[in-house]
Amino acid sequence: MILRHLKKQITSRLPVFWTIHQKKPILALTAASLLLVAFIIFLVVSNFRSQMALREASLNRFRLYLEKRATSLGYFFSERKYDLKMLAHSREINNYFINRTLGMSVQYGLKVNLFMIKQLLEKTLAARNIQGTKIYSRFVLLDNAGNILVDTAGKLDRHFAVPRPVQGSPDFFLTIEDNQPQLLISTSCSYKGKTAGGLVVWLNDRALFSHFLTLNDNNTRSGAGVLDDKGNTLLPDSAAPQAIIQQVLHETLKKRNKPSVFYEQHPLGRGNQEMLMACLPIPNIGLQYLAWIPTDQITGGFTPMRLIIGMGALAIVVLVALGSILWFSAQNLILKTRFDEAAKQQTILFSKNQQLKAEIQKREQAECELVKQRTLRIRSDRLRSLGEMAAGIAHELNQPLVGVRGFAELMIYALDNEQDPSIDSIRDYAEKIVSQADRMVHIINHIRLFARDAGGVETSVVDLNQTADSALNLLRAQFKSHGLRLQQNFSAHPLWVKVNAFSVEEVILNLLSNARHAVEQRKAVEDKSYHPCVRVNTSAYCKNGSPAIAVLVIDDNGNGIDQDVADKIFDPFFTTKAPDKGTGLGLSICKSIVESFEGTIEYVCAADEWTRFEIRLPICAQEG
Amino acid sequence: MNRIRQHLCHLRTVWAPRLSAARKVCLLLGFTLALNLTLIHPPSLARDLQDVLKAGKLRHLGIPYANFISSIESGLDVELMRKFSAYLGVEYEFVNSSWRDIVADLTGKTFQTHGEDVILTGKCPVQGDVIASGFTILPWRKKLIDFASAYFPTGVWLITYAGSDLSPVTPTGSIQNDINAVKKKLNGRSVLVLEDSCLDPSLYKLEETGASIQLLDPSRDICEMIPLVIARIVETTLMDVPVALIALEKWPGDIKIVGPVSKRQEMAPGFSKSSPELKAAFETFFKRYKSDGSYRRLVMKYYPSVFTYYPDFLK
Repeated sequence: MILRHLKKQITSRLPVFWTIHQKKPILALTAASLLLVAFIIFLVVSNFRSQMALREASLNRFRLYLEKRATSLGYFFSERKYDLKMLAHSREINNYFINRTLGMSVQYGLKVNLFMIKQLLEKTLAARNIQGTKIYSRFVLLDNAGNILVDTAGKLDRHFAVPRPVQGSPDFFLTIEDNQPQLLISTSCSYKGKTAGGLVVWLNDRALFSHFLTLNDNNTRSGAGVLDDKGNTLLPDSAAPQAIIQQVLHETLKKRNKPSVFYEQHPLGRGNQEMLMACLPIPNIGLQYLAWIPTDQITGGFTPMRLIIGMGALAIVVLVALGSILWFSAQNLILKTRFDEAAKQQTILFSKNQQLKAEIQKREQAECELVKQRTLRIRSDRLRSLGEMAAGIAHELNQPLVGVRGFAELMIYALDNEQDPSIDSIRDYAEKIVSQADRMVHIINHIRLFARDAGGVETSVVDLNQTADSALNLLRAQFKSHGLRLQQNFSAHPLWVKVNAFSVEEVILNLLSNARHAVEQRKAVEDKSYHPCVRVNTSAYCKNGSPAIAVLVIDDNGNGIDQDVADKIFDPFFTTKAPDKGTGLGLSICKSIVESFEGTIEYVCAADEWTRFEIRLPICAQEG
Repeated sequence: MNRIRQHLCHLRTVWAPRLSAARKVCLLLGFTLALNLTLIHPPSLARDLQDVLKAGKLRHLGIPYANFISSIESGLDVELMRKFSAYLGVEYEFVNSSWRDIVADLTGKTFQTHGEDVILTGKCPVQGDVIASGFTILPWRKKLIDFASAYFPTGVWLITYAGSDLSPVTPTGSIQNDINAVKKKLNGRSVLVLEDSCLDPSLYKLEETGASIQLLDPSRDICEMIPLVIARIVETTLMDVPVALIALEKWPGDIKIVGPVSKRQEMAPGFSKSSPELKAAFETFFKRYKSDGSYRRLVMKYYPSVFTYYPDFLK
C-alpha cells in the first residue's frame, strides 16, 4: 500500500519522460523491499521457534536442576538420619541408660554420663557443618516420659511438644517454635531391645536454606522450602513477599495430592508476574521440596511474543525507513529535474538577454544614426532654408555693396576730376563706405550665427519683435521677388522673452517658408484676382493687467491644410511636399523648440483658404 | 584374671589379720628408730622460697593419680606446678612419692596417724618443696603441713561393681542423710580402702558400719582399687569423686556409684610449715593464674565434668 502510494506520488510529480526512464529502478527497489520484508519475516519466525525451543530447554534444565536439588536434599537428610542413628547408639548414651538401669542417680553418677552425652552432642554440633555453617542447631535427649535429659541449647526447663520417639528409622517432622517453623529429626534410643528414650535434633535453617533449599540467585521473588504431608511448611525467612509465599502455598496445597512431580506456571504477585512452581518429593523421607521462581529468571525476560513484536516493529521501521528513502529519492529526482529545467530556462533567458542587449545596442546605434541623420537633415533643411534665403541675403548684401561702389566711384571721381578735392568729402565717402561694409559684416555675421546657433539651447532675454524682424529681413527680398506680399504688424512695446533668438528665428523662417509654399500653391491654381499675402503679427496677452504671454501669429491665405493630415503635421518626417522639397521635420522641430522655451505652438486652418499658426512664449523681465 | 583374683583373695584372707599386729610392731620400731634418728641426726628443714630460688629448682612431690598426675609430663598438678616453677623462674622437677611417705618427704619428719591424731616418729630427708597430687585437705594433714588455698573440690564415694546387689542410694537432698544411707548398706560388705590417704577408713568411721575393711597393699597403686572391685575381689571401694568420674567414663557398665561417704572436701597444694614464703608465692601465682582463666582451662582439660557436680566451683 505504501509502495503503491509512493509510486503514485512519484509518477504524479515526475515528468513523464523521467517516470518512463525510472520505472525499472523503482520496480527493482520495490522487489528488493519485498525481499527484505520476507527475509525479516523469515528471521522473526526462525527466532521465534529458536526462542521457544530455548525456553523449553531452559524449563527442562530448571526441572532437572530442581530434581537434582531434591535428590541432594534426600542424600543430605539420609546423612542426617545416619548421624542421628549413630548418636542414638553411641557409647555415651548407652552408658547413661546402663547406669540408669543400674539404679544410679543423677546426683551420684549419672551427671557424668549426661555430661559426656552433652559433650558428644556438642562435638557433633560443631563437627557437622557445611563450609562453616552448622548443620544442626540443637540436640535434645529425652527419656521415655518426655523429660529433657540433655539439651545443647540449655533449655532444660522448657517443655516442647515433640512426638514420642518410636523405634525404627528416624522421623522428620515440622513444628512451630517461637512462631518459627523448625525442621526436626527424632529417633529412639534403645537399651536391651526396649525404647529407653529419644534423641531429637534441630536442623539449622541457614545451612539447609543456603546450601540445599534456596535457589542460586539473588532474586527476592524466588524462594524454596520444605513441605510435609500434613501441609506444614518450612519456608525461608527470605525477602520474598508474604503475598507470593501465601499464593505459592495455596497453589501448592491444591496440587499436593497429585502424583509425582507437579510443575506449573502461575501468574503471581504484584503485576501478575508469571512464576514457575515446583513441588518435588524428597527421596526416602516424607517431605517435599517446594520452589518457586519468576519465569523470566529461567527463560529470560524477553519472551518469544515480545520478540515477534520487537521484530515486527523492526520490520515496520525498516519499511518506513525504506519508504522514506524512496520518497526522499523521488523528491530529490523531482528537485533535480526542476533544477535542470531552471538551468535550461536560465540559459535560454541568458541568450535572449544577449539578443535583447544586441538589439538594444543596435537600436541605440540606429537612434544615434537617426539623430545624426536628423541632425544632418535639420542641418540640410537649415541650409536649404539658407539657400532659399540666399536671394534675400544677396539682396541685403547687394544694397550696401552698391553703396560702397557708388561712394568709391565718387571718391575716384573726386580724385580724378577735382584738382583739390577736399579731404572732408573724401573722409565722408570713406566713412560711408565703412558704414556700408559694417552693414554687410553685420548681415554676414547674423547669417553665420543663425547657421551655427539655430537649434541651440542657450537662452537670453531678447525682444520678440526684433527677432521676428531679423527673420523677416532674411525673407523679405525673396517674397518680393516671388511677387508675394509680406506684411508685418508688431507690438508697439518690446516683448521680452527668454529664448535662443536664432532658434526662434528658425521657427519663424520655417513657418514663413511653409506659408510661402501654401500661397504659391494656391496662386498657381487661382486666377489673377488672388493676392497672396503672409502676415506676421506680435502682441502681448495680459494677465492681471500686465503682459504675461508674448504672442507671435503667422497667417497666410494659402491653400490651408487638408483635414486628413491635420493631426500629423507635427509628426517628424511627415510632409506633403515632394521629397526634394522638404524633410518633414520642420514643424516637429518648431514644436520642440517652442516647448523647450516653455511655450506653445498651435494652428487653425480652413482648407483651401487660410492657415494661422500662433506661438505663445512667457514674457520675462528685461535683463540689465 | 582368675589368678589375680586368687592372689587378691589370698592377700585378703591371709595378710589382712596379720597386718594389724605387724603394723603395731612396725609402729613401735619406727617410733624408736625415728627417735634415734632425731637424736643422732640434726633436724633437716624444708626449703623456703629463697632456697628454691637459690637452688634454681622446684621439686614437686606427687603420686601418679588419676588425671592429677598422669605422667611426669602431664596431669593437672604437673602442669600447675610447671607453671608455678616458670612463675618463680626456676626449673621444675617431679619427685615421685607414695601416699604413705609423701608428707614425710615434704616435711622431713616421719609420723604416725590415728584418726586425726599425729605422732612424730623421727626424721627423714626432705625430698620436695610442694605436694600437689590431688591432695585432699584432711585434719591430720593440716597438723603437719600448710595447705594453700583450695583449688579442687572432691568427696568420697562408695563404688561397687555393676552386678552387685548393693543398690545405689536415692538422693534425699541432704548429703548427710545420703551418707548415712550408704553406711547403712555397708554392714557385712567388704570395703577396699587406702590408709594415710583421703580413702582412709578412719576418716569416715567405717569401722562402725560393720563393714569388712580391706586395706590396699601399700605396694599397689591406688588406680588398682576400682579394677579390684570390677574383678569382684572386693565388693566395694572408696574412691574420691574426681577418680570416680574418670572411672565411670573408663568402665561404663562395670561399676556403679552407691553413694557418698563424705561431705564435700577440698584439695590443695601442701607446703612445709617452714616454707611460708614459698606458699605465699604460690598464692600470689595461683590468684593470678585463676583470675585470667588459665586455671579454668586447665581444669576443663583434665576434669571437664567436675563442673556438673560442683557448679559453684571456680565461681
